[in-house]
Amino acid sequence: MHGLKKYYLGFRLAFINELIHRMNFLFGILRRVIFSITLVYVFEHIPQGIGVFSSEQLVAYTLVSYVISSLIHVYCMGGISEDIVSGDLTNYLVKPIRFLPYWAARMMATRIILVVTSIVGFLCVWLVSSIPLSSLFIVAHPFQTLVLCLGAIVIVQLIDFLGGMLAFWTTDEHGLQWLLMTAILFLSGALIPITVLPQSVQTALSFTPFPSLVYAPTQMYLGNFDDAAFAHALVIQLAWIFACTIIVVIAWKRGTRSYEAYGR
Amino acid sequence: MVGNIRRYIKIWQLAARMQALRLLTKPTGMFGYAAGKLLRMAFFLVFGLALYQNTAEIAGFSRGELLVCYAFMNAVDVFSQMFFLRGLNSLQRLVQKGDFDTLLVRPMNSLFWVSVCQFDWIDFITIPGAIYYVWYAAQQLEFDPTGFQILLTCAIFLISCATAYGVMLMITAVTFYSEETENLWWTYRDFVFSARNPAPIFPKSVQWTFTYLIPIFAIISFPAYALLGRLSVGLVVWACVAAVLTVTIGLLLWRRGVAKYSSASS
Repeated sequence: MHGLKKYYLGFRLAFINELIHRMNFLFGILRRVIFSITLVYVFEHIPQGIGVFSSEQLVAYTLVSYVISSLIHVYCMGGISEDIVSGDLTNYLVKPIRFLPYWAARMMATRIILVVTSIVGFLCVWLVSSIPLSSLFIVAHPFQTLVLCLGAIVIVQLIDFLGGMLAFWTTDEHGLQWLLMTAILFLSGALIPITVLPQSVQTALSFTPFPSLVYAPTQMYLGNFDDAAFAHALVIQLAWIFACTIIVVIAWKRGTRSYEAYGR
Repeated sequence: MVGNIRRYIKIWQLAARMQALRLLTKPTGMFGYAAGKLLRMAFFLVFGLALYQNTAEIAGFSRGELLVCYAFMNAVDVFSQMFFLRGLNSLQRLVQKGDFDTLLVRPMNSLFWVSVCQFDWIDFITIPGAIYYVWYAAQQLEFDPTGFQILLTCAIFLISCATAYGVMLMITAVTFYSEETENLWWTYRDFVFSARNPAPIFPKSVQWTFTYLIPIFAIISFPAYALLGRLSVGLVVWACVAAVLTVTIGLLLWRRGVAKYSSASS
């Protein structure tokens, strides 16, 4: 238990750090709301719906995916790569602290702040919609939703680690990290249900971890997934967690072996 | 005067060449950014097409008209980002580190350097994609735009880029008052991405606010409306006024900001 204190300190520091620049923090809340509000306006102007989704279902999807996205779109890959490139990683390697779990603890603080603030954002988005609030709180499968959310957080954290560890092999990692974050934003189902995209895109996405991140938990929350669909989504998440964990472990071992920090 | 202009053109050329060389030393990063931008472009094309699965019209806009709005948003974004955004956005870092001093002591206008001397070659790479997007969207229209509409579109496009510069300059000037403006930039970017949708989907109050108070629709939607024949004479006049106003306010805020600036390094 005592060993966990240092990670808790990292968590606390990250928490304080997030709240230092208040104007920046407030704009951070605002910017996450803007796109969801726009989507609500768009979907409410399509009474016929899109594909099998009615207009109301699309609005409900937007509201729920907005909250779930706040758990997912949190990244530390920039910070990890900065530590590696600047040589600050050495400071962690000589201390009795594990670098990646330390970053995960810090990210957990950011996630908690984002989820709490997303409740305010959720209410703002709901205010512009015309669906009853009560309908959004009837969770058909709360346990299954929680399981898929946790799975999504683990997958995105592992992908995040991999993005950060690119810096072991290249100082030119920012572009690839941006590509990764853009792909997660647009292909995870954060903006629109994946099943309304063309069949070829859906097929291509089924070979990636992206639909497991926002689409699956959101559909589970809204009760659009039955037990079989939940089991299928869970198996896919576990497979990606297994694959990503192996890659992260190998990348960390090889990366720290090749890591050099001059002048330290 | 002419000699000064020549000098600044030469500075811009040198800076653009330096940017290109810097980029060529980082081919992986260049690939990542270009691929990310193309992915975003493709996503919104697919998204726009998906919206019309069960309907022929959204807020009075046909599929072709919506795609024209999306394509022009993309084009304005690519052009303004290519020329201005990278440099203006980087002021934050310069001020935080105190590196802005090195610009102030150079024998040239610091605003010129900050505004245009970080030419974004990655956006330059995506220009063919942006042009194809506009061409594809125009092909989806049920009518052929007249020569006048095309000319007006080109003129409004340039005016929109000037307005975009004015708004971005205002955001840049905030850096002198608050060091951390990252999310303010992203808020502007999110407004820009949201304004790609036809204005009539938003309530009247939102339309008014983002046409007159914060002229995001003037930046993003007006070029598309000009091509679609939906831009009234009043809005054409407002587009010109908005460009002059935003650039003027931006310049005033910049001057006040520079006067307030105190170095972080010395």
